[in-house]
Amino acid sequence: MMDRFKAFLYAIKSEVWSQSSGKAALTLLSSLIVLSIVSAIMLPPNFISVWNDPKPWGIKPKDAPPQWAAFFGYSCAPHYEADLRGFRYVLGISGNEVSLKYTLTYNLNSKSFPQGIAIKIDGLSLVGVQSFRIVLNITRPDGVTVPAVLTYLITATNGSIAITSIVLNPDPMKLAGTLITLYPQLLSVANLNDIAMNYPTYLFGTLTNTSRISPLNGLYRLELLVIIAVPHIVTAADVNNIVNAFRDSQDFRVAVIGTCYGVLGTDYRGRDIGLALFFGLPIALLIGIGTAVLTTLIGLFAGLVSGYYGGAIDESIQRFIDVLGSIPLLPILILIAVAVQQAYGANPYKPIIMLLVILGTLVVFGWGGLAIVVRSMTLSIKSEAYIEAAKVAGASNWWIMVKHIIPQLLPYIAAQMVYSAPSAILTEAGLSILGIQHGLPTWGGILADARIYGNVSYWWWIFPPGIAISVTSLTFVLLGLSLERAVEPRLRRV
Amino acid sequence: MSIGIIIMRRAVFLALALIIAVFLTGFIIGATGYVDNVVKAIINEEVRAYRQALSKMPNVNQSYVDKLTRSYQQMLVRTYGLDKPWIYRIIPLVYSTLIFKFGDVQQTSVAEVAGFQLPAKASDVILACLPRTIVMITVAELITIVLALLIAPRITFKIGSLADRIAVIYAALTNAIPVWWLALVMIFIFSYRLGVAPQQFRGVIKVLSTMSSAFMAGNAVSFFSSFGNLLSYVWLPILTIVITLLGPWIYSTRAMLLRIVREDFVLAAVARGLPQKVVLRKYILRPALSPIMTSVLLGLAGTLGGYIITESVFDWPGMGTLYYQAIASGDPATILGLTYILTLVYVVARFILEVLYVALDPRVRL
Repeated sequence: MMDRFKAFLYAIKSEVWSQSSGKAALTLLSSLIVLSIVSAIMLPPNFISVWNDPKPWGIKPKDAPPQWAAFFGYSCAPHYEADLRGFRYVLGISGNEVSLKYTLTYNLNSKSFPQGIAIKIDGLSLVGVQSFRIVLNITRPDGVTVPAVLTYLITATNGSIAITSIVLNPDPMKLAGTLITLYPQLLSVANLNDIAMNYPTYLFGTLTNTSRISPLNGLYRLELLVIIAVPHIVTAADVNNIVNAFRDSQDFRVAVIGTCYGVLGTDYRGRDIGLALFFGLPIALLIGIGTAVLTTLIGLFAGLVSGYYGGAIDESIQRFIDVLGSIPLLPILILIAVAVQQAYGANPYKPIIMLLVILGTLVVFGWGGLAIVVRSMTLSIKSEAYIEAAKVAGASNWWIMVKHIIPQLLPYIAAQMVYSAPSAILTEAGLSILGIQHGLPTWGGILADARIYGNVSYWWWIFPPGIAISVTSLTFVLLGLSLERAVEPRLRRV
Repeated sequence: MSIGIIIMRRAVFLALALIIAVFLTGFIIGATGYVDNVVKAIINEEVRAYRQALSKMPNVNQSYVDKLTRSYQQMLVRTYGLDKPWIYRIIPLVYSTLIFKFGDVQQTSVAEVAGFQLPAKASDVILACLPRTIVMITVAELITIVLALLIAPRITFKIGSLADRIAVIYAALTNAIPVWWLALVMIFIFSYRLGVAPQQFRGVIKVLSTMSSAFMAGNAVSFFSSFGNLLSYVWLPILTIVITLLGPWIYSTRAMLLRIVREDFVLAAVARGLPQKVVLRKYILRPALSPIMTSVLLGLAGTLGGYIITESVFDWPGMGTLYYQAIASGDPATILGLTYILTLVYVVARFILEVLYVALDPRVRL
């Protein structure tokens, strides 16, 4: 049995491989599977919560096209990010204060303004200190230093400071005040509120004539001072302790937020769309293959039993299929998904439960068509003489089904199975479009966000997920086409 | 068995399927407690408003307000039937739906899809949305079917030719591309980049109502000018749907014809030297008629429910959007009414097909 099955698989494979569409399908399928295994291995266990948490994405550009968009005429203000844990600093000690001075440069060479400035600190714990201060000064290309663009102060409770996760941004009103003091002529084009609302424009811009503000290109020098006060005169142990604390923090970085980012751009929260596409692949494949395999197994079993035994069993199975076929699938699926979404609103396993419920519903409503085909084929095979012979020789029903009928059905079933995968993938993605989201970063989910938050106008948000969905479905469609041609000679060229 | 009994049996089973479909929907609505939550939220909101109104009156005693509010809440719970298990609410609703007495719309957002205000009847809301779906999706499906039936027979004799390969590749591609994604892309290109299509499609409500009133008044000028308006709204959705549906339609029609092309009687006809056109018309299309008719009729019946996702992407106020809005906001009367109507249309189409098979295929009559 196993050998026959292997031989069958080999024959199918070489049949499929001999066609160009089959070659394309097998290549695509194997690369999709390899990619999704890589992605499933690389998926961080807390990815869902990180993805839905706004904090980690606070230092990324929002609604930003990919970096390569610059080649096609997009004006991209560069995104600059420096991990300060491994960065060179100048150590200063005075009285009871230790200061670390980081000097960074940002080169603006663009027609657009950066989106802002941010500092991100994760998992920093300082023990035996009094206070922790951050001051960021920026020297513009015109030589003017804007002092205290970003300031932050935290005082210790019980001599220690613990920061789990924080993103710091400039105080816009204070910065606007500073900018007006330095450049009083700005008031001719904007008032204090305007400047505060769009501080990056004025921080990185200059008045070209009396009414227009445009980016001031050139080198910006960022001077970041981290000042830690200890309760006594600084000792060598304190310095060591502080330096180690920063080196051992989970993240400590400063960013000049640009307008282009990554391989595939970002969404409205600054989340990397490429990342979601990568981690969405195994989910899409799982839904497609899972639904296909389960519907095929149920359809095969039901059709076989229905056709082989006939009578009341046959009648009841066929009528059951009739009822299933009359029920509108998509509305019922949406109804079930919405109900589950409401019922498990706060459950941490909600994404998995919803995914399984959607998969289950697709399976329950999906096997009818195949069962009808299998039944009619079983009926015609059953009346062949060799089945009679096997019966006379004393073969059991089970033996006849497994040994004589299923092997003949296999090719057709394989083609049917492959065909049912894309529709499952498309339906699952379609549910996300309707706003039924399970919280996993799926391809449909990105498209749904694009519709809700992006107003359909950001191409890097619409095209890649759709293309990913289409390519995955196309793989199965092509495979189905070539399988069908392999088993149905009538579809071949004369 | 005589033909009459076969058809009667089918009719009974189809009717049974219809009733089960509506009951199943009612069961899902009720058993999951989903609609109950929605109703509870409505009651809480009303009670809050009531308490606020009472508190605004001068010289009110707080305990008296509490008492009044409590009795008002109990009255609401009784009115909505929340004091009994869900089965007592759903069964009468399912029953009245089955005898075409659809209930009232409860949610403002559902009535708004139809362009109505509360109070509104579910049947009125459904009837208002139906023509909008017909002008977009049913028309698109019709165009697709006509094109497919024109193209497919032309490539049946040329398997493996360039035209055939293009058709198969096109079918494979459009089978893999979701309609609603193409809709997003089309909106992106034609509405936002080129600006030749509308960005908001809700305006079609007004156009259709002007059209119907002009038709009633016999005002031809106004009718045709609003027909032009209608075209400006529908061309993009129709184009989108035709592009994606045409491929699978051509492919499945081609497959049906191919199955017949290799039959002995066709080979014999070709061998006798009959012209291709005659072979196609008399020997291939005639036996292919019943499977083709099945997919045409069931396809057209299916369009009446609207394409939920595609309509939602276009924000098209048709049956699909209504269905989705009813499900999303939890409006049992509209959900059940729509499920019933759509399943009824499907079941009737199936029944017509059963009768037609008997009429068209002499083998069934034997």
